[in-house]
Amino acid sequence: MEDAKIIELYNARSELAVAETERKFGKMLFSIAMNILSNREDSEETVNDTYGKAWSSIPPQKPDFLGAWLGKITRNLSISRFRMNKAQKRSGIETMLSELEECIPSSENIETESESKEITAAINRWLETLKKEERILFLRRYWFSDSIAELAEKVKIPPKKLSSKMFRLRKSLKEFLEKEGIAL
Amino acid sequence: MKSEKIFEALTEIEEKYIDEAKTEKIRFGKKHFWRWAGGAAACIVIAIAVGIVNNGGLGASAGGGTNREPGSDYMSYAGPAFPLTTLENTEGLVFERNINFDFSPYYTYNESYEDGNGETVYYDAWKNEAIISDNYTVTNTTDEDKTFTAVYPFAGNISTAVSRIPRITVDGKEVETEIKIGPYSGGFASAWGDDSETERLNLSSLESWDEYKTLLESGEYLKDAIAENPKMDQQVKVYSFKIEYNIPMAEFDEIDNPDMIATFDYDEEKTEVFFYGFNGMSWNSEEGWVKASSYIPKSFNTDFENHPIYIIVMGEDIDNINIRTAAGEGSWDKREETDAFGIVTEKYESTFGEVIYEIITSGSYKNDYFEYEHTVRDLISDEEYLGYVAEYMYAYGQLSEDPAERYGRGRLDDVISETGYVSRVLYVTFKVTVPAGETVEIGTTTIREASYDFDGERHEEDMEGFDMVTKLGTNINIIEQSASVSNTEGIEIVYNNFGFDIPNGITDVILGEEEHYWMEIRKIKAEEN
Repeated sequence: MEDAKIIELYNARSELAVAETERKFGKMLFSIAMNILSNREDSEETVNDTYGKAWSSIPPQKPDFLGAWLGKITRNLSISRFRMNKAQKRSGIETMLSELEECIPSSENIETESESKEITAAINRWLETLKKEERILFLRRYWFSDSIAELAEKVKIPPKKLSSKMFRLRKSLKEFLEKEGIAL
Repeated sequence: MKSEKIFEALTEIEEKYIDEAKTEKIRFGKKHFWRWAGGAAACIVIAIAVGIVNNGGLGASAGGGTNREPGSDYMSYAGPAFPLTTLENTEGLVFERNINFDFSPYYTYNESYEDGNGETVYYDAWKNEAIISDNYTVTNTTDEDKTFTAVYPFAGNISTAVSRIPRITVDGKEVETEIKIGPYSGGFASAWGDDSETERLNLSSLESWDEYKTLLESGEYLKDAIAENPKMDQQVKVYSFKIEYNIPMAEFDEIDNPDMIATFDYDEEKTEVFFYGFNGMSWNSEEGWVKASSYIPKSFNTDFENHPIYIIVMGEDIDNINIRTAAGEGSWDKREETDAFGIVTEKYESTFGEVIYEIITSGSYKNDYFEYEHTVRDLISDEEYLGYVAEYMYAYGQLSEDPAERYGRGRLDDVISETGYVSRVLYVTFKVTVPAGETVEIGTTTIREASYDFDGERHEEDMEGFDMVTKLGTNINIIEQSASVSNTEGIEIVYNNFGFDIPNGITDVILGEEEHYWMEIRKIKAEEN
């Protein structure tokens, strides 16, 4: 079903909206949550919470990219839940976070920490500089949290080669953030 | 950790980038994206041109070519129309089959609702169904009357079967039928969506007719469908919990996160524990403890007046059980107790089957499942449903020797409800007598949903599919099969192997030796129609 039709169902307060959302995006949302939380129950609950949020937000909201908009909600909820769980559990996000350490700009000359919004804006500008395939790779790894092995299989690149590609991307982001004066 | 800051900041990046990566997900695998990106755009053009040529032999091809194989795997596959079969030997009977796909229910229509300002808003609603009339002329070529049990299969599930069950006529008169329901027809996938034997977390339904062929070809599946379901007569200790609200519901609705929390110790080697009505759980197998929480429903939850919560113990009893109330935020141990509700605990002994029956027939379950599906009780009784739960439990739940991870923690809510909606092949059975030397007409009418993809090329082209099989799972002697389409004004058949060609008036065809016939159709848009 087209996204616009699903949004119409939300507007009409039809419970089919949630069923259709689940049918179209359920697998993707579960995968986003699972990649961060590494726990089925938590991921299912997070995806269910996403549907709840969508139900209470549309209307008035009318997302342009329904899948991406839902994915953001799931990602945010997963991160919150990860924070609650992290003392107790090992999670799929940890490896990714250690990789992202390499993107942290050197902040010797900067006294104040940048706001999250500024960092997002800078990342947006950096993404714009990338080739489409690089951008997709970066997002698949660090937004959708695909594992390297999974991503390598998808794009038919040997994992080692993909890892070095990802290393170059992280280095490029680090340099860009430093150039933009971003401090963490 | 500073990297968390980047990880979080990434969440809010522009949606167009997320959408780009989401959409491209499919193409990575199927179309070797990196080779495209390496400057092979010219190859794509050639591939599309080849697609048109290849599909030229497949009947009407109004929509141009495609790189994919039309009529093949669907992300949501409704299953083909199966041929009639019988439980007995039907030597001396010959069958002629005509199947018609009536597209009158396949249309888009206008619906409206009143928005907050009292204004009427119109929107498109749609139905993607066809009425399939699968009819048989049966001739008795012998000199004695022949009576047999006819069996007509259809793909579906228990919860929606009542609206999908084929209507059967013999010589134009509707006849009484019985229903037999086969086991779960699909398999499981890992958390990443790939079919997996080692990590069975997600349900994975059949996606192609070939998979149905594997399922039904030997005839064992039909035997399983007809066989009696197993019993669950294991002795169990039951802890049943009832909620008592101590304050008016309007006040209770304001309470933050009201939960019942149960903690207990047990020895995993000696005890199997099952839960119903619990939403959260943590456990430590080595230390032998469990903490489980059950959300206490508020007035807007349909089951707030009857919300069953159970802990069912098979084997040695659990120890040190503690039940308490909790509200507010925080970890389990730190959340405060509340007097807003109380818990009445009852402990008794029973059989596992009797407790599951208690749950199935409880008010809550009726609300959650049966009444939502309106009339499923017209189709099968609570006792029969219990049998299917038992079958599923022995196949994949904790009564199985190799339980699927999906049901690994004994959460009965999942097993009981999924018994209702996992995909299966169902059968209607009925008696038919064909007098010596005479002919009888058997008519079957089924409403079927289209098969479709929710992503990728077929989805983008608004294409959906209907299909049928000619031989699979049948023991009858069909001497001729024909197919037709009707009420096709609102659709176009873009690809098919039947030989239909609506623009040229070919809507009725004699079928050949193919085992599988299929068509991909789409609605003609209003401006084109």
